[in-house]
Amino acid sequence: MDKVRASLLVFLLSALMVLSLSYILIPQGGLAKGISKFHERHSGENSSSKKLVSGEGNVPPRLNFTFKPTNKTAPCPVSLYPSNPMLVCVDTPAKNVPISINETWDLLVKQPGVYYVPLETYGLIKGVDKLEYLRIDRPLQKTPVGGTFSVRITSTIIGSLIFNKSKYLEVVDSSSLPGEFMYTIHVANDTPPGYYPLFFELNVSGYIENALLAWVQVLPRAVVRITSLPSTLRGNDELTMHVSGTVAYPNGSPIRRGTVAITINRTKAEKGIVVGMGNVVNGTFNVTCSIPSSVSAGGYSVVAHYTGPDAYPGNSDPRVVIQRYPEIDVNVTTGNETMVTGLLHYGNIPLNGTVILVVRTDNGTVRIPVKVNNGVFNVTLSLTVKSVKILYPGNGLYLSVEKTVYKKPFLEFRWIEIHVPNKATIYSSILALTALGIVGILMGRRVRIVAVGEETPEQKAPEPPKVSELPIKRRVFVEREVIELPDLGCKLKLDGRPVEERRAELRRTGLHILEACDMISELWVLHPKEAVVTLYKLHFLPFAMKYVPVENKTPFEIALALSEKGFPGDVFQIARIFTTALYSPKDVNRENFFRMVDSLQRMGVFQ
Amino acid sequence: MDVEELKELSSSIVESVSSVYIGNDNVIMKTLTAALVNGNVLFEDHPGLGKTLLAKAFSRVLGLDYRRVQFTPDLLPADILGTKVWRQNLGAFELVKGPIFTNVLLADEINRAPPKTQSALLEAMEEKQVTIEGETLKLEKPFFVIATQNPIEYEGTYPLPEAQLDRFLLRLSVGYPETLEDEIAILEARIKWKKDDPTADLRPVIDRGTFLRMQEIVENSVYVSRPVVKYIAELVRNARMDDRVEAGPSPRGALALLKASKANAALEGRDFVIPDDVKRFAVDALAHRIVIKAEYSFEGISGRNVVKRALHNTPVPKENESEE
Repeated sequence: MDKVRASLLVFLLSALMVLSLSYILIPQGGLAKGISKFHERHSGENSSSKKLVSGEGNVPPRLNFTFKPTNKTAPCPVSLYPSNPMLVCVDTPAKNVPISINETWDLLVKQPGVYYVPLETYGLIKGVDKLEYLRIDRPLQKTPVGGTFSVRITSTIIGSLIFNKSKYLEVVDSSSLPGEFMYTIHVANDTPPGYYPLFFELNVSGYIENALLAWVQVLPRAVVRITSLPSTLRGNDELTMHVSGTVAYPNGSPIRRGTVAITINRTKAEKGIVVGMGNVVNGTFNVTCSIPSSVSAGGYSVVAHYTGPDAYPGNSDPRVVIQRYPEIDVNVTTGNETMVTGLLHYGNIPLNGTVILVVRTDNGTVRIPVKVNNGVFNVTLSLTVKSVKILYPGNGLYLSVEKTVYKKPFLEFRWIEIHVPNKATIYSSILALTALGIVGILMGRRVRIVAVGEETPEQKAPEPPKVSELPIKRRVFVEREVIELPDLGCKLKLDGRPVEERRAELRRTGLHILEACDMISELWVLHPKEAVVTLYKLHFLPFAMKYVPVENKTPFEIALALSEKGFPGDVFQIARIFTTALYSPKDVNRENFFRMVDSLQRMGVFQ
Repeated sequence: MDVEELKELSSSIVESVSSVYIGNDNVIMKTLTAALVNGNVLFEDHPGLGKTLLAKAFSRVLGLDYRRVQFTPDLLPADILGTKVWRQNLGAFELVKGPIFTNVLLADEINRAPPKTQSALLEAMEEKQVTIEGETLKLEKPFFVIATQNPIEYEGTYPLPEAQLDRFLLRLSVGYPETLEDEIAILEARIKWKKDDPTADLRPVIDRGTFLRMQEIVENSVYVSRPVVKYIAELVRNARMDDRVEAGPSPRGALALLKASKANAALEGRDFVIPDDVKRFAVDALAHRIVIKAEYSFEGISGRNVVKRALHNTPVPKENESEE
């Protein structure tokens, strides 16, 4: 028995060596035979695990074969390569098959000769030759009608490789390095959608072999349009957005079925976030999308991606602006002085801008604008306060919010200031504080223990109404500009002073606060150069981002994109004035500012 | 002279060059941009696209001296720089200046010479001076190199080392004529010229002194605001930090982009730089300074892809920094 095993082992090793040598060393025609043998061996090895559909062999045809009549059928659609006949299974009928495939996709071979149907499944892609000495980077390509794609083929043997041109596929560029071939193939504009085989002819010392290395799926360019979409979404929780639209072929006829995934993207080039999916029914879709709370405020492109047997993602233009309510975290410590520190943010995103502190003291109320830098604001006031209301008036993306903090009486030991959250903590921490106090005294520092005020149920005042913005169309002005004030049926206050008339002259530069009917507006009065930049930021950009991406675009690129959307030539005037104001050392005068205001007015920015 | 006058002169220069170099005014404008800041230009393109013609036409129209060196594997540094030869009758060494002593040097097929010879250009390209046998000689202003290389052929070539590539302000591609009309225009122009080299008929539009004044305008009169400076810096950093990059663009790359942007602003009659100037030259000024990791370069990723991604990811400044 051992002798038999040993003989078998010797035989197998010998066979392996002979095969290896014939594959590696045999020159000229011998190498070609080696290729052929290897391929047969390779195919045979795989065939055991693969199901054959029909045909006379399990090896894809190579050379010198013909068709012969048959009445056999195969449960898959087939494709046939006319110049080098080969039948292979494909997902949908290839259009260059010279046999009739009508309603049924069963295999019907009507030509005389021997036919071959290689394998129903051959790896992932049906009917692709898997040759170890000839590999392609992607065995299935997708391209639209009229598109271009590239393939890269690596080879472990030396020879020439030629793409077998077909009616619709043509090589427009090719290059080669030792062991590597690159082809750029163009799909003709009149190509009927379907699957097309990519055949290559390998020539090794005169021995020619054809190999089907890849399939290209030619897709019609589906025209996806979003017909209904909200322009603005507001809120902090998950937001619901209803999107409706149509999917059609380029000739306008509807695509009957498929699915549509809706993504929101900062720019079209981004992958985006999938917010909803729905079915296409007779060319229309209605998708209810959920936008998670983690999506920050901003302008987003809404893109409907059609997926189905036939098309490419749609190129939808509409944009939606998501507005969020920011959060205010505030800490107020008060004694002879009051220190207000806080954070203005949405989730992890710090905001910039200005908050208005409405500070109530025993003597009345004062309003103090405070700059927010990278989400942080802080101010120290030389007075004792009863309550502090922090108002954020909002901008194009973040809505107005407010928060009020009522102060408890505080304990005060004048030396070193240590902030603790409540009295209980003070008692429990007294030993540590005493020790720290001693250290403080030794270091010559004043010691003060302050209990930070908390909002407790009994202290909570009735929830104040949301502060919303006054219906002031423009919020940026230049010095001495007279503004028309809206008639809201209640008293107007400008910087805390009542305004009797409906007109007011804005005399000094800086931030002005206009109040009426529990509404508030920030009015910026600035030098024309600054005013142009602020006008662009506060009014133009939020408007523009409804239509086009703005973040990585220059002012002139934004203007061009808007112009292509049908906006008037004012967009270029706005870009010119803004670029001069921001990027040049030149001054900008009032006339330029008002010219920009007029342009914005004509574009409908202030509506 | 102010930027408006510079713009007018530039238009005349471009018009004159384009009378012999048919088809691609964009390349002419970009070459002029580089010339205005003494920037060296590398044309990477196939043979026969008119690179030499362009260089000659430029030197003629700008009223500058021009020399051409065909780089070959046996070219020696002394063949470019010059050397000292012993004069028997004088009993002393005499400096015989090489072709580098010119205003515009066309280094044709620069990658055909070995690195040693390529390196002979480094000092001249960056510092506008050469050292011959220990003696340092300043080159006459203006001086810039227009080099060409064929990106297809590999046999018998020496790819330019990174240090050498970094010395080029811009890498440009001339490209084939875009339309059939352009091809026909080239043929018809040849019929009209009745000779192969039409540059001899070109008349200088300006003289050397005027060109030097134009360079001064770009250097001294074009303002770059802080937001634009920051934009350039962010763009270069984003390109450098791309995870596909082995070695990113150097600070010299950022300076090159700044200089090209200034020149472009002046050519458009502006005395300040806007982000559009930066965007226009980002790929030309940065892509050749980027080395892609091997695994990505096999996928066909190039410096151009990296710069384009950086442009996409870098917000364009639209407010003053103080307002942040």
